[in-house]
Amino acid sequence: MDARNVRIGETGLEQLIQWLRQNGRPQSLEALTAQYIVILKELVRVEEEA
Amino acid sequence: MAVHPGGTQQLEFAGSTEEQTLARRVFEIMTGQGSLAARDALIRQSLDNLAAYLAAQDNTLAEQLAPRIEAAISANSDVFKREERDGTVIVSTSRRGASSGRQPDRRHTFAQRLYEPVKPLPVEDINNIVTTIRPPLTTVEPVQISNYWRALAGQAPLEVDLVVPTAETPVEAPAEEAPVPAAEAPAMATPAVVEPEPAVEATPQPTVPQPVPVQRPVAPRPAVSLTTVLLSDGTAVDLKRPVDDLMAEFGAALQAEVAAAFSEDPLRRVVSFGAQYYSADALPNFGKNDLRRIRDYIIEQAEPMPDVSILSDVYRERPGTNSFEVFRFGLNYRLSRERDFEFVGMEGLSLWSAKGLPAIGSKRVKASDLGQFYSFQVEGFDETEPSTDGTVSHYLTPFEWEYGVLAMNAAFASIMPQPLLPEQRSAALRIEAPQHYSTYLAEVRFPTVNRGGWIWGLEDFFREYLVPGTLITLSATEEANGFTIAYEEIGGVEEKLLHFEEKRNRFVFMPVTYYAAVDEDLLPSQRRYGKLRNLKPLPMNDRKKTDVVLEHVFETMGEQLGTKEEPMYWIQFNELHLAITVLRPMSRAYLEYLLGQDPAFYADEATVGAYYYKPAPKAEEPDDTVDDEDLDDDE
Repeated sequence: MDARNVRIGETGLEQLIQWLRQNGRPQSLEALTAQYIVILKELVRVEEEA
Repeated sequence: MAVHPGGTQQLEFAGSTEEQTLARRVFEIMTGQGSLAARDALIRQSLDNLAAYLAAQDNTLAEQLAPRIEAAISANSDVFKREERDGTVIVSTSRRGASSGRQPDRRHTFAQRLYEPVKPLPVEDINNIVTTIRPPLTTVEPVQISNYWRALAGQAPLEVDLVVPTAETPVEAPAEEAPVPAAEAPAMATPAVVEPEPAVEATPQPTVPQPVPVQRPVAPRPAVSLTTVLLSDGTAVDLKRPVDDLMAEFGAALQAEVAAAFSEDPLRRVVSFGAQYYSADALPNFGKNDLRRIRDYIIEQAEPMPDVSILSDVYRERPGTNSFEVFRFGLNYRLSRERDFEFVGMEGLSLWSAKGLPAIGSKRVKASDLGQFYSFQVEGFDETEPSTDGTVSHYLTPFEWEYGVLAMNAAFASIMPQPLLPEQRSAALRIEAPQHYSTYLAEVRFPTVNRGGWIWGLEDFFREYLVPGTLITLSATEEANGFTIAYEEIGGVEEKLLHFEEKRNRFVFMPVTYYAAVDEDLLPSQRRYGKLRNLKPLPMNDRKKTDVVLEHVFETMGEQLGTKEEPMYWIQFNELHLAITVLRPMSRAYLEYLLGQDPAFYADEATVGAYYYKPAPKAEEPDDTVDDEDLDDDE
């Protein structure tokens, strides 16, 4: 994905929620934010590779 | 086909005469049986029953009659339907004489109407359209919205501003700008393509002015790459950088974005309690019975209980198990949404109070009154400094001693727990007095915008072991809500001290033997401050009126230097402050402020720290309410 199309707080939020559910434990906002960055990096990287 | 007198149709049956007769009799029997059924509804009866009934009427055998009935039915297949179920022949018809029932009308069902209204309302905000159906696969669909609409919605882009032209301010023609390379344009800050409008004569138009994008001086655009995203405040974040770097530099802003995304999610898929977040649909369910059990448990324990104790004692959930943290989060989240429960915990210790639990603190003064008494603290008249070592020392005032309260000033606030939830009102404390091996359940009430905070619940300890003027030391412990209170013990000292006699609603001096080191200047003793007994225990509402309290204390404690017609009172500041703190809390800074606000109070230039009070002349009143000062009270 082109990073210009990323909207913080919307893009990748579903993946973040799935990660939180699969994790099985309540998470701090800091941990969630770090994971969100990982998800966004992945989304941008996948598109770049394609 | 003739019309039946009852409104139904008279049927004509086919077949031989006997078959027609039999068919009519069968029809009458079946429609009589289903007389309350709908005209279209099928009425069913077994052939055996019909044969038995008719045979009984005709005095024949049912076995002989059954084939004849079946033949009559077969001859009138448009009226009767024959079917076999488990070897039994079933005959069906309806009151209108049809062999089949009405087919349901599925052209526009109720279920369809729910989702596909005939006249749908216009969609003003797409965010308000909520569906509980989730797509099986997650798709990322960026929403492209032009800057024109963003600007109208208040999300103005960086370089473009909107100006509503008026008749007095002619519209500036936008200057042409060199096109920006697409690769450098940021995703959300891309300026709208401003079409160069033809030069417009500045002629006032009668129509409503329309917003027109106008260029303003463009700031240098940061060069951004294809891996750079923009936060809502325009900050560029390059996702190529390591996660730790991004968290260190943009952590706060990114956390705010994520928290906002969760709170604005219309499906509320993620919920939070304190600083923890979890998926809403994976939480354990706590029903009404669970809440009742938890409430009964807390009331039985007679004090606010931590979540861990509730889980272990009520649900046998032990820390360390896989599900414990989720269970704990679910419990806290559920209780936080119930009116019968109140969170009185802090970071690291979730304490829950329940409706019906005895209130902490004095019953002799209302929380609303204390909040107003201590409002001077949030108005900037707090003269204390935050503690740096977790310990605060403080001299008790008479009011604090009387009601067992302490001000939530900057000093005490620095060692007290902070509220965990946004609208948290209070937190439960456990204050231990090691000198007496006793523990007191206390409560800190957090300040609000216009009400001060305080700590209460120490009434028994103060009145049993201390006197006003004692220097107490409150220290934080390793426990989140644990504190110790201490004071310097001395040999017994006997003194006549001010005491509020509630039954007679007056102040008196009573002999007391105390064992705590005190500041003599702050001890309301008869020896030093004999006039204190003349103070009136004003109603709490009057004590909130600082002018009433000031005037009363001046008139009671001050030296009358004027005449009866033109009285003038003189008092030392320290004595004035002590007397006021008998009636209500007040910092010295606040008292100085009040004295400077009213010209009736003014400093004695000849004596440092002394003040005059010269009341405005009043109309003559019968003088029957003033108590004479009494220095020789032996009570």
